[in-house]
Amino acid sequence: MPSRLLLLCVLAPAALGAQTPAAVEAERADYAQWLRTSPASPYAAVLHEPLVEDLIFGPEGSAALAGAPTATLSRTRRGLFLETGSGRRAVPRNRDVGLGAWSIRVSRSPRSDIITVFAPLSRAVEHPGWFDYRADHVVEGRLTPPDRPTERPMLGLDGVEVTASLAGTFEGEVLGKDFTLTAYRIPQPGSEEAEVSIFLRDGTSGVETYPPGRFVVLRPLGGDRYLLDFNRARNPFCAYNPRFPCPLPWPGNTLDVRLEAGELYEPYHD
Amino acid sequence: MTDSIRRAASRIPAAALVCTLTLLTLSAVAASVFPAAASAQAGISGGWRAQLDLAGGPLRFHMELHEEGGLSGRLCNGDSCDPFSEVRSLPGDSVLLEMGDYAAAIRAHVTADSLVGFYRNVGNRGPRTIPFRAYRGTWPVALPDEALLGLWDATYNPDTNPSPRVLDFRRTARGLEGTIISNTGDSGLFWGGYENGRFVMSHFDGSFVYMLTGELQGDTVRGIFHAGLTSQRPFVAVRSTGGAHLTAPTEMVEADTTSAFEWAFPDLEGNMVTNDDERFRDKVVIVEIFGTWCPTCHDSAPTMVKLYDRFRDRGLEIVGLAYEVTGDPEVDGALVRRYAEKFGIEFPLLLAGVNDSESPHATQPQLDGPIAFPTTIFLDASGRVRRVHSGFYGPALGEVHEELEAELISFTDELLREAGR
Repeated sequence: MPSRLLLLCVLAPAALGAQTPAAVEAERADYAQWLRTSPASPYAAVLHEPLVEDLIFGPEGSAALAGAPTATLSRTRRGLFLETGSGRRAVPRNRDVGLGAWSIRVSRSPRSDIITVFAPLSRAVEHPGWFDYRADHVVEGRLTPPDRPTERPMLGLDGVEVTASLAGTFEGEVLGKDFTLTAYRIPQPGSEEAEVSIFLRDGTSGVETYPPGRFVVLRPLGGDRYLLDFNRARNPFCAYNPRFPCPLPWPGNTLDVRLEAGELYEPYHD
Repeated sequence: MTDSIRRAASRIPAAALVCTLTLLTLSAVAASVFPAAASAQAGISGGWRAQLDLAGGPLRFHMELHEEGGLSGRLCNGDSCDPFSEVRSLPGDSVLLEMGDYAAAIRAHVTADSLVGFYRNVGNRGPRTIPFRAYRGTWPVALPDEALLGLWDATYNPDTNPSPRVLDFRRTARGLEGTIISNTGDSGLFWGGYENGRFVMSHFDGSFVYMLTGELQGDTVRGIFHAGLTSQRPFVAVRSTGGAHLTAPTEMVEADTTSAFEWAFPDLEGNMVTNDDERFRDKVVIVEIFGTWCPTCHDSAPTMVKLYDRFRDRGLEIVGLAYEVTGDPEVDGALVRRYAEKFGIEFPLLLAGVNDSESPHATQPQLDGPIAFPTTIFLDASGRVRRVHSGFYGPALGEVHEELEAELISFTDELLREAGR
C-alpha cells in the first residue's frame, strides 16, 4: 500500500467516521427511511402555505392539487372540515389526515393556519446523507440565560411559525476557536416538549450544507452545561423541498470555521 | 452499508474510500442494535427493570415479559401496568414491544440478562428515538421524606411562561408515587424514589415520556419537568392550601341546557346512532368524549364500565364518542374495537371524529369551552345537560380518584332517582 494511502488509513478514524456511535448511525438510518417512505415526508409535500380560503382538491383544484381525490377543505366558525364524496369530517390541527393516498396537515401558527398537502412520492427520494462522524465536533459548553424573558416568532424545522423563547447564549470551542451562539426553546405543538435549539451557519453553508443554515438541538448535561453535537446538525425541511419556507439565518449565529459534520445538502429536483 | 453511508461515501476522495469501506464494516457491526440475521429468543420471560436514557437522567419503569402461550408482556409505572399491544420476536435475537395505541415501539437486542435498543415513535418532524435498556429484576425501593408528601401547587416556567399544575406525592410500599394534575386531568401515575436527596419520578406509557426531578428546599419544592429526550422545564411549588390553583373540572365547559343534547355518529358497524334512538329516549345518559390514544381515557374507562354495570338495570345508558387518529373508519374502528375489548365495554362506542381540540368543538356545538379528553357529560331523563366533567382523576391519584368515582356514582344515582328509576 502506498505510504500516503497508509497514512490516510491511519488518520481515517477521526476524519472518516469509523467511530460513528451506534445510536447516531441508527438515528440517521431511521430518519433517512422516514424521509424516503413516510406519506408525510417533506419530500412528498406539494403545497405548504397559509390557509386563507377554501382549498379544493382534485380536478377542480389548483395545479398542485389536481391529482388528489376530489374534496374541499373549508373553514367554519367551529373549525376546519374536509368534504369528500363520502361525507364531511372535522380536520384536527397538527395531525396528518388521510385523503386517499394523499394526506394533509393543518398546523397552527401564531398568525394563521398553515396547510401542508402531501402527494404520493412519484420517484425515489435521494437523501443527501451526512458528513462522516467527527468526535471533535461534539462540544460541551455553557448556556448563559438571558437577562430578561424574550419571545419571538420564528420558523421551526418544518417551516411552521412558532413562538420561541430565548434560552440564552451558548459558549463553546470547536476546532480551536471559541464561539458563542444564540439558542431558543422551540415548542413542539401538541406536546409538553420544547427543545433548546440553535440555527447556525458555518464555512460549509452554501458549499456542502444548506445555505441558510442547519438546526442543532442542545442536550442538557445539568446546571448550565449543555452538549452541542454538530454531527446531529439537521436541515430545515426547506432543504428537501422548496415548498417549505426557510428560516432566516439567526443574527450572530455564523461560525467562521468549516464544520464538516452533520447533514449534507443537495438541491431538490421535482 | 446503509444508503446514507453510501451517499456520504460518494463525497470523499477515492483513495480514502478503501479505508472507509473497511471502517464502515465496523460501523455496521456497531449498528447491530437492529440486527438482521434470524435467531431464536434468548429467553425473555420474567421481570425487567427498564429505563429510557433521557438527557436529564434515566427514566425508570418495569416490564414483565412472558413466553408461555405466545409472547406477551406489559409495561408498568409502579403498580399501574398496561399490556404491550404485541410482543414479537425479530431476527437476530431481537424483540419488538409494540404500543399500538400510540404508534410507538421498543426494539431491543436480547442477551441472557439484558435488553438494549431504542424506543421509537414518529412526530410531524420525523421519527425520534430514545435509548432503552433493561436488566433482569426490579428497581430498588427508596422511600421518600415525609415532608414531601401531599399536594403542592406548582408553577412551570415561573420566570418565562407560568403554567399551573398540582403535584401529588404519596409514599407507598413501592416507594414514591404520585401524579401531576393540570386543568384537564392528570398525567397518569408517576413512580420513583429518592436518590442523593432528590426525588425522581417518571411516567412512560408509550406516548408520554415524562419525568419529574427535584428537591425540597425549606417549604418550597424546586425541580425540573422532563419531557422527551432533551426537553426540560423548571418548576417551583408551594404546599397547597386548598385554595383554587387550577380551574375546577366541572367549570371548564359550559353547556347549552335549553334543549336536549344531540349527537348523531356511526357505530363501529357503520350504523348511525343518535340521541333520538329508542335506546336513549327518556333515559339518564352519560356521554363520554374519549380517544383510544388518550392515556387519561384509559384511566376513565374502567369507571365508566363500573357505572354501567351498577346502573344499567335502572335504565342508565352510556355512549362513548371516539375522536380518533386517522378519520378512516376502518383504521379508527379497529382501534376502538380493541379499546372496547380491553376494558370489556358493552355500551355503544361511536366514531365521532378525529383527535384534536377542534374536532369535538366542531361536532359538539352545544358545549362551550376547552374540551378535554376525556370529557364526561351527564344528561337527565329530558336529555338536557346537567353536568360536564372535564378530564379525569385516574387511579394514580389514589383517594382523589376514589372520591371522584364515588361522586360520579352518587350523581348518577341522583339523576336516576330524579327520573323515578
